[in-house]
Amino acid sequence: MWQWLVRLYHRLGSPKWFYEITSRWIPWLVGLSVVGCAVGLVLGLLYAPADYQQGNSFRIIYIHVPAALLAQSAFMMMAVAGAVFLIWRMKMAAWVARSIAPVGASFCLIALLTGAIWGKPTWGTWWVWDARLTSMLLLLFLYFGVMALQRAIESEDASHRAGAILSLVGLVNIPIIKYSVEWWNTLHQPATLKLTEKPSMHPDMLVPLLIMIVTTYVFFALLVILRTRNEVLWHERKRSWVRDLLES
Amino acid sequence: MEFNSFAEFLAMGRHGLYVWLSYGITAVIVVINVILPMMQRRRFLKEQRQRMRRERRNQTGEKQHASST
Amino acid sequence: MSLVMATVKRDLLLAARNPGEWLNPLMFFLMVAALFPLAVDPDPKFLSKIAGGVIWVAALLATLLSLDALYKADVEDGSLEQWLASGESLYVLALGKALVHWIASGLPLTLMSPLLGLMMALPDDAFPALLLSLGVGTPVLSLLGAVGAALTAGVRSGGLLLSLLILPLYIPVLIFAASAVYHAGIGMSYNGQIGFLGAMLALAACLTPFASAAALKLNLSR
Repeated sequence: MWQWLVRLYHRLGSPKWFYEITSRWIPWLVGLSVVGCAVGLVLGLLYAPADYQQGNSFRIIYIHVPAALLAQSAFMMMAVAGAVFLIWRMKMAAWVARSIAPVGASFCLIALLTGAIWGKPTWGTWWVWDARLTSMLLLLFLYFGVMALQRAIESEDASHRAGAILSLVGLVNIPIIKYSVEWWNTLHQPATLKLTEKPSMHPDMLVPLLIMIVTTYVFFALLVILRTRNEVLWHERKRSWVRDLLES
Repeated sequence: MEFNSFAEFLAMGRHGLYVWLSYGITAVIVVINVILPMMQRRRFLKEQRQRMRRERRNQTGEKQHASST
Repeated sequence: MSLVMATVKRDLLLAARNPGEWLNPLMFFLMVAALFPLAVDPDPKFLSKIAGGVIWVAALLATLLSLDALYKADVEDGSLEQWLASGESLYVLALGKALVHWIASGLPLTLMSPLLGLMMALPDDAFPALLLSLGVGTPVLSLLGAVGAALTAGVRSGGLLLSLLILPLYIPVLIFAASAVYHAGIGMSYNGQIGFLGAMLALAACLTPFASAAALKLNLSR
């Protein structure tokens, strides 16, 4: 098992191998995303019962929660990829980290916007300083910071390293920020109706949610792979295998 | 099935605006995220093919130049 | 170690000879706080409620203002390369630089804060909490900010970028510190908040110099 992992790691370090293997993965990822999205949304929008308090507006959960979960784990993945680059100087990891940043920020934005829209029927206003929404907003700022830093530094190697350091610092701070925002929220008249907290979810509501969460992760993998492949092509453009690819 | 008619499905029991607005915004962001890397790839391939063609033309041009003199 | 001591001494001497460096953020601190009564409401009852938060936001912005210059001169005049070549621990150096920054910005802010408290009609009970929270909280700001300063040292017009990177990281400090001042003002215990600030200080003092050291090495490859 361990040796297999080590071998996988060394192969992943090879841009050519990554490009070739992902060429085979992409159709599967596209198929899984489409099917998962179709099944999850049909079940969630058509078959799940309406919420007894929030009515049909709760159906926003099927995009809000997966996007919010993904935005948080994407930051973690970006920081881990950054760490791999810092420690072992593996170029592929830096390209993956750079590809994750805009995708993670997009999902963070989706979670924020859908949360705000969901807040309107639930709380009566578009924005409430709710603990989750506030920490989502701060996460978006962290993403923006990493992206702005990567863009500002001209030397490519330095910009990768700076992005990695900042995302690691952000990663350590995320739990502290989340905790302090939650603590702050309990002090100031908390929103009585929590968007997503349920004592127990009806299985008809829960199953589509789980499907959507898994689908979102698969779709995220697809987006990151698409972006990383572009990085690979760009950096390897002088190599013979890319030239062969261009000839064909 | 929770809804009896398509109109009822669209209305989402008074919450239609919010539900469809959320799904619409999400769809837009998702589509942008799919299209951007694809466009980037297309542009890369086009530019690189042009570059290769140019290089080849230059090489053959040099050869002809060398043979004529 | 001696190099770090020499650097700290040199930077303090420079700050003492060039008072603008630490006076400007102080004046900025004062002015930002003066904007709130003018913009919102000079009623003392209202002011006393927001005083803690306003003073802390002003302190945060004043700290950011002075961070930009922390490593700039060292990158430009080549001292940074000498440090890296000397083989001295960058960790200790980063800690020393953060300490210098705190002495030149956080400490004067803390000492001047009671004046702002008077201007903002801060309740009498809240003054010790204000001093204590600034005393424990501003070193965290300097330590975290030093990472951002090291990351953006080689970037042209890095000041705005630096604020963008660092402000989200300052939120926990702001939340606990402002809440300590507010709770002291309404006669409640604020030990918990100060405790959290202390924990953050310990954590920041241990961890941020690693990040600063790694970020400083970047400036060589440019």
